[in-house]
Amino acid sequence: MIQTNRLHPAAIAVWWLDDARRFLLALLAVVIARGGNALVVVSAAVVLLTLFEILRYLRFTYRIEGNTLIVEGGLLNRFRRSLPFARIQSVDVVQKLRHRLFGVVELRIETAGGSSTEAPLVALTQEEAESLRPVLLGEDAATPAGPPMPALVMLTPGDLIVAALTGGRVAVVAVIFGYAQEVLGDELLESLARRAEDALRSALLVTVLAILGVVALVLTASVIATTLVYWNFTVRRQGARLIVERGLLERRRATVPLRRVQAVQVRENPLRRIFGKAALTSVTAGYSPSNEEREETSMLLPIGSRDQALWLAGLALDLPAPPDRPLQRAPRAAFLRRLVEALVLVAPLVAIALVLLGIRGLWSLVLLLPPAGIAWFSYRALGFRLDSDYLAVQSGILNRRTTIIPRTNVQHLALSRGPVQRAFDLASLRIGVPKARPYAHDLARSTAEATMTELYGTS
Amino acid sequence: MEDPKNHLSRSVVNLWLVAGGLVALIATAVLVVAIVVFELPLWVPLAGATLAFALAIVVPPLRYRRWRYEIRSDDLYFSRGALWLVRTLVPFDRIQYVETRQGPLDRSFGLHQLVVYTGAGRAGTIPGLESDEAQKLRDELSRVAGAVSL
Repeated sequence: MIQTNRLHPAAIAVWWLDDARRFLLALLAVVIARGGNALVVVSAAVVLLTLFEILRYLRFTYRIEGNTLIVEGGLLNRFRRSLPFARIQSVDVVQKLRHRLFGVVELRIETAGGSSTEAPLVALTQEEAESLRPVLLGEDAATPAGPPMPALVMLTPGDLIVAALTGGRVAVVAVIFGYAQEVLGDELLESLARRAEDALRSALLVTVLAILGVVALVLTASVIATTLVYWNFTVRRQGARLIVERGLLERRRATVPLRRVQAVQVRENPLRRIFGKAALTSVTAGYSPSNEEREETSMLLPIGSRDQALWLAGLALDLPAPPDRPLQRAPRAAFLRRLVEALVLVAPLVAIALVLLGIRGLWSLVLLLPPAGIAWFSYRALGFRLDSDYLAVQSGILNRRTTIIPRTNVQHLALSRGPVQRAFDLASLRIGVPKARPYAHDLARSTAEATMTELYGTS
Repeated sequence: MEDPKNHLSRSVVNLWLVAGGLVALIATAVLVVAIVVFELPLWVPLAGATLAFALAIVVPPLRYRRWRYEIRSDDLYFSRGALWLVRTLVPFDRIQYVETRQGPLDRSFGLHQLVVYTGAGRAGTIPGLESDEAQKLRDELSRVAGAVSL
């Protein structure tokens, strides 16, 4: 039976508000320019827009024919889109402020390779959306959805504030401050405070206050942004799907089929590492929202302990156990390789300094320190593990990332050995996974080759 | 791990020589312009051009010697690189599709390139294949490809 459906009539209002926003500036310009006549122009525009949206609503239909969703509509340019269920990657339920006014939701359907939402059903009742979603995702409607599962993750406002105060931008500021304190020393800071007492209007104080002001602003902005985006963040598992809900003004509910999750990344910035906190994001195939939204939509855990992140990683990747076994350190040779490359980089500068300044040119050896430090810390950040079910790869001096890939999701492998790596019997592995290019840097050559043979049987 | 068995077509060396020569020529031209503009001493472009042409002559035979590929029982295995050695392994059941390409230089030497894609994107390109060999590889890989789709 083919049944043609209309949206909820609230769609008229939702579209109206959406379009009115676009004309707002033009209307304001008219009001300012025309003065007295403005009222006439504005009411005419309102009436026209309302009529337009009503017609649009009457023309817009959707129906399910076999295994395809067909959406038709359009006033002048009629369109007809058919979306085979097999091509549908995810179905998100979005509730913006304007939807809340009418108690409806928007259903967003993403398809493989599609850059934008192909057929937004802008206004449906909650029940319609709930019954449509499993059908579109090609799940058996006969199997009951079961009772609502307990939340796997549920963030409190307190968690959100911690997340905001340790987020990306804040971490950068904190690192700079920590560094400044190291360099300046406590006494200097104290004397600054003492001097501030008698020189209230000194330029120094103004600068300090300005910096503090900037910091306060960054913190406030971060808290507000994080709260808006991740308010009431919950993750549930329902059958073979993860359901992620979040948002204060704009409530979003994303459904992530587990089979689409190719890998996960545990992300730890320096500030979060101090407190043992981490975030978890998913790497999914096909689903490609805009760049700035990618991190938000792929977020599985905005903040939590590393253990919690790994536990959730196990669930998201459908592994029999959480991927929490300790990682193997990179061999010492990895540090030597990095050191040698740093030396090669700086050596010409030292040579030039020696030629130009004679013996005093030896001071230029100081230049070696920062690259040597980077070599050490980047070596310490490396980690690798080939477990019975998954592959884990870790790197990053400041922002540490641990990518966890189930063995079955590895598409291809490339083993590379540069000139310096060959001297130290090292190799790097590039792991072919959609959307992410994880690298296992500087493994012992034997480890890299064994990984290759073990992952793909034949040697 | 053993190296893969098959070499590329011999004539790919000539192709690389021509391509490298063209790049060296362009580099020399840039250097000549640079000495006119910046009034550098004459030995700069001479040394630069010598280096560029030396590399253009030395690298292709080395690259040829290192470039190997092999279709094994379950995967495509190829290795390459004169300084940076890279070995790539693509299991058959991960191959999404295969294509052959022919650029203008390839055409003048009667050669083809074979590009292999997996679910994670391009897994690699094998250059310098004779028509027959390229076609054979493409058909063979297409036949065994994608037992498991993403």
